[in-house]
Amino acid sequence: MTRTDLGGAASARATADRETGEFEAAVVPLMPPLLAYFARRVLPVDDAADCLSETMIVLWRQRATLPASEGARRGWAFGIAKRVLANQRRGRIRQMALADRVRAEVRAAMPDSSAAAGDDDAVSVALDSLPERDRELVRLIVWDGFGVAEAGALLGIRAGAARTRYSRAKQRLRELLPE
Amino acid sequence: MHDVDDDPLILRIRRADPARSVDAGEGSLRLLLGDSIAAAGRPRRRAPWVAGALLAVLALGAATPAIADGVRQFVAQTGWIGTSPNPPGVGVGSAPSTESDDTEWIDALAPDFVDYAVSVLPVEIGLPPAYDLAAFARVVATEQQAALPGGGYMQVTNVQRNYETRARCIWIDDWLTAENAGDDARADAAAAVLETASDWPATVATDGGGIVDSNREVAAAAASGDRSPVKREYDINCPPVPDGILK
Repeated sequence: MTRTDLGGAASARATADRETGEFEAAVVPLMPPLLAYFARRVLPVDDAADCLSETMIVLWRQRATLPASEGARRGWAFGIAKRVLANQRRGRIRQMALADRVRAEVRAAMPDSSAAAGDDDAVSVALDSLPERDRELVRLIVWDGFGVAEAGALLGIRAGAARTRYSRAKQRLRELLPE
Repeated sequence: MHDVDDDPLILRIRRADPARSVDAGEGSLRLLLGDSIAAAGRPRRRAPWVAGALLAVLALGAATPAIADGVRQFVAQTGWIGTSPNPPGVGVGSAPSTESDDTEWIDALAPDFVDYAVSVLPVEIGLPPAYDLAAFARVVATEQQAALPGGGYMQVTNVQRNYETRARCIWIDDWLTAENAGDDARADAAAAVLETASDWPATVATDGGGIVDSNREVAAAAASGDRSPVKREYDINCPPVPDGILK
């Protein structure tokens, strides 16, 4: 190997390290909300760690299209998470050894392994009574912290329709969960 | 009207969040991220979890194609399944094979794309005696990868359909050569394969309408010695026989 070869290899390594560092800086803040997103929706909850890992793999593969703005990046990541969730529900997410540590921490945080229940059964029952899309809209807004229009975009609903649906869902929940 | 932050209904739903206590800690998350990046960039056959997955398949027996299909052994395998709602890499050369294709997306830029493609060569495919099937598998996959120089993704059925289409065209070429030379035995053998080729699985699975029927008509023409429809099919729908695949 020549001096030129060594210099080229070092330069390529530095570029790769910089790319990895930039990617990590962009996605690490998204990991806790993504993990919570999966923990709310998958059974057994242990699978949340595998879903998160799968999402990170896809994000890395598609890093060339990573949006620059934080808001757009969040929407993009959750759009991918939604598809990973669909695969998980079809039994298409594999358990990964690399997710073991996070899997254990999720299990410790949710020891009953019941993602849907929470500790207020009435809320759980009331949410379950909503049409699926309205229920997911409420979850995205109240639990995942999205704005109404952002949540609607994730579900493929126009902003106006999302506001109407969210208002209708809250009205229904107020009837079922009186103060 | 309540503001979101003090609406008792919203507060109550928020308190019922089943994941409100989930906090994996940044150290664990960074570890998972690093391992995920490593898993995305190395041949899957070396990843430790693959060994476990393979053992699981073996333990469950060979007759579990859904699980076996889920085992990743190649970097080219993305893990993305199906066409809804959006496949990976939309806008960079990706195209679903059909609207209902439920197979995995394959990364054409992956360094082991050709190895992966060879591994899914349909078992139904054979070639005339003069050709080397292994060479055919590699050359055709290399050509398919080269057709997407900017990268792109395709579903497994597209990889397999490409093999079926190219093999069928080689059999058509063989029939035309035999018919032209008056070699009835060779022509009959080619016609018999063309009849079965109409039902090769990826071609059937991705037929958007009329392909299989058209292939059967060509096969029937070959069986009856009717050169014109066979020649027309070759001229319109068949690329040249690839170089480098003769024994």
